[in-house]
Order: sequence, then structure tokens, then C-alpha cells
Amino acid sequence: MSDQIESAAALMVRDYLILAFLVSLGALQISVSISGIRGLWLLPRRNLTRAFGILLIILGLGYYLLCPLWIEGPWSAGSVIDGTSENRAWGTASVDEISGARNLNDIHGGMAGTAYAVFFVLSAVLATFFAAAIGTINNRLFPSPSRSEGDAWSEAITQRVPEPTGDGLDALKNTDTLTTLKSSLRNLRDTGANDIRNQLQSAHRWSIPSLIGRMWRN
Amino acid sequence: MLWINGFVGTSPTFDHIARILASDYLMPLAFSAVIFAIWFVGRDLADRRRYQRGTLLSAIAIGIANLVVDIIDSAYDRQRPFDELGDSLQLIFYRSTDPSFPANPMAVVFAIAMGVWIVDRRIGWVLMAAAAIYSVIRVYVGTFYPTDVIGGAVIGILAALITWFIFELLKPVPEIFLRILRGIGVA
Repeated sequence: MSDQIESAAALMVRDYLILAFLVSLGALQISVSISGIRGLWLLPRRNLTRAFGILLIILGLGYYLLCPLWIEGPWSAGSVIDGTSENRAWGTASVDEISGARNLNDIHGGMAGTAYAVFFVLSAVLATFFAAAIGTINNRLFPSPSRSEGDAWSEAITQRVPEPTGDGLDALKNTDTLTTLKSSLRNLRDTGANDIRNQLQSAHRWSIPSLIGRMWRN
Repeated sequence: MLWINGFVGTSPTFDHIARILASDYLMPLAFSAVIFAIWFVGRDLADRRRYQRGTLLSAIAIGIANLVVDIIDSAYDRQRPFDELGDSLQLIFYRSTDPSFPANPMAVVFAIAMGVWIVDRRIGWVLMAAAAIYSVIRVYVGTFYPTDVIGGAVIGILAALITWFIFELLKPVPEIFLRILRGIGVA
């Protein structure tokens, strides 16, 4: 029984990681297509990027909900048969059982709330790295002027990667992560201390850092 | 409670939808995806900083809400409705084993909804509506009492407001944190 619970847990974790990765990557693509952060686009055009984001979310949910039809597991009988906490025998789920198949109690191999949170964060970080890597490759093949309009393919190879303006995600609007990282770190070194000092000076007088500063001076 | 749960079986199609909506994965994942996505959504630096504050605020609010729920759970072990009401309840979800009050999933989704509402009313209201639907569905499938989900919602909303208050008190620490993240290219 405990072996079965362990296998169930591994199955749930694997499938949830796939779901969370696809959903986070999809949400990221929709988001960066709105804000114009080209450095994280997986495809060379804004509309394509947004459509691809939606497709990734649908794919993720489709996979997670439908794969009990062909993958054997302890798909929950608890939510489809009689409200018992026990799982049924290992096997594939029928179409009628699909809606409740993933509703597994954590004591029977399902995931606890904390596990969902941890695996989501992990997937979101992975999705960001993935988009940054593909975006960098993409940006070198299709530099910014041709990425949102025009014929990307014909102009791609002849153009250089542009110098970033600004830092952080702002700089990713016209270049890629690798280039941005260098300029962001340079900006942080050159202006970071000054920015932080300005922020501290503009804080309202009752904020804790201001109070500590005043106490320190007195 | 029994009135809401009494509709179970009226429409098998709706029951299937309810099982998916009430699940542990769908709504929490959707809410998490929203706070992840708004990190990148601003059109300019000021706009992005506002949304990123929302993401930080929601994430910390989730932590505070969970902590409060854990403390209450350890002090007060309310039985689940399917344990107390027996056959008069139609359970179409798994039998949870943790205390019923307050509803932890509601605390989490309302903490996110309120955290986002503070920085963007429009998205915030949409999330509030989704969180309310999630709450009703959880009562419908028989896993919580209405007072459990109300308790969870109040904890979540208060956690986000407390976090916002802490952010105001600590100003400009969150902004400095975001500036450093911008310096390493992630904000």
C-alpha cells in the first residue's frame, strides 16, 4: 500500500510540474506580449507570442485533466464514487471519472498545499529561464525592428543585437537577457547606491527606515 | 450549507465542472499564474514597479495567511461537514483530514486577490469574483461549511491589508529590493 502511495505521489508531482511549467510559460508569454518585453518572447511576433501563450495554457490543462484516460494511476475514487477517502485500484480512468480523477487526498499520494506552492515557484522560475534562453537565441536571429512587424526572416541574419536602453526587464524590450544582464549589473554598480539613497531620502517621516535614520543621527 | 449542497446530482455536468473547479490544483494555480504574470506586465518602469509590488505583496500575504490558518488549526479542530452531517450531505470530493475552519484555500486565493486589488482594481475584482466562486463551489461539493470559507476569506483579505500596511511602514525597503532585482535583470 505504501509503495502505491509513493508511486501515486511521484505521478502527481511529475504531472503537476508539467502543468505548472506550461501554465507559467503561457502566462509569461501573454504578459510579455502585452508589455512588449521582446527578450522573453518565444516567437518573433507579438500576436503569435500571445496566441502561443494561450495555447500553452490550454495544452497544460488538457494534458493534466485528460492523461488519466491513458496513464495508469490511483485516480481518485473518492470524488467520483462514494465520497470515501480511499483510492481505487491502480488503472486508467474512464471519461466519466475524469473530473474527479486528480482529486487525490495527500494521505493517499496526492499533493499537500505547500507542495503545490513549492512546485509552482520552481516551474515559474524554470519557465522564466527557458523563455530567457529561447528569447536570447530568438533575439539574435530576429533583432528587434523586425520582430514585431515586417519580414523577420529576410532581415534577421544581417542585423546586430542592439545595445540595451535602461536596465532590468525594461532593457529586454529591445535586446536579450545576456546583453541586458551586463548593462543591468553595470547600472546597478554605477547608479544603484545613489538610487537607494534617493529612495531613503524620499521616504515619509513615519516610515521605519526614516525613524531609524533620525534616531541614528540624533 | 445543506441548501447549497442539496443541488448536487441535479445536473451531472455541473457536478463534473464543480469537481474540477473545487480541485486543489486549478484555482490556486490560476491565481499563482496571475501574480507571476503581473510581475512582467507593466508597460513602463513605474507601471511595472507597481505591479511587482503587487506580486511581492500577494506572496507575503499568502505566507501570513497560512501562518494564521495553522495557528487557528492547532487551537481549534472543527470537524468537516461530511463528518458531522453524515448521510444528509452529498460529498463529491475527497475526504479532507485537516480541520475545516478556517478554509486554507480561501485564505490563499483571497490573499492573492486582495494583494492584486491593491495595485490594480480591475484585475483585483476579477480575482475576487473567481475566489468567491471557488468558495461557493467548495461548499457545494461538501468539503467546507460556509463559515469556513468566510473565515478563510477574511483571513486572506486581512493578511493582504496587513502586508500592505507593513510595506507602507517599511517604505522604501520594497522599492530598494525591487531596484536590486532590476540590477540583476529580473525586475
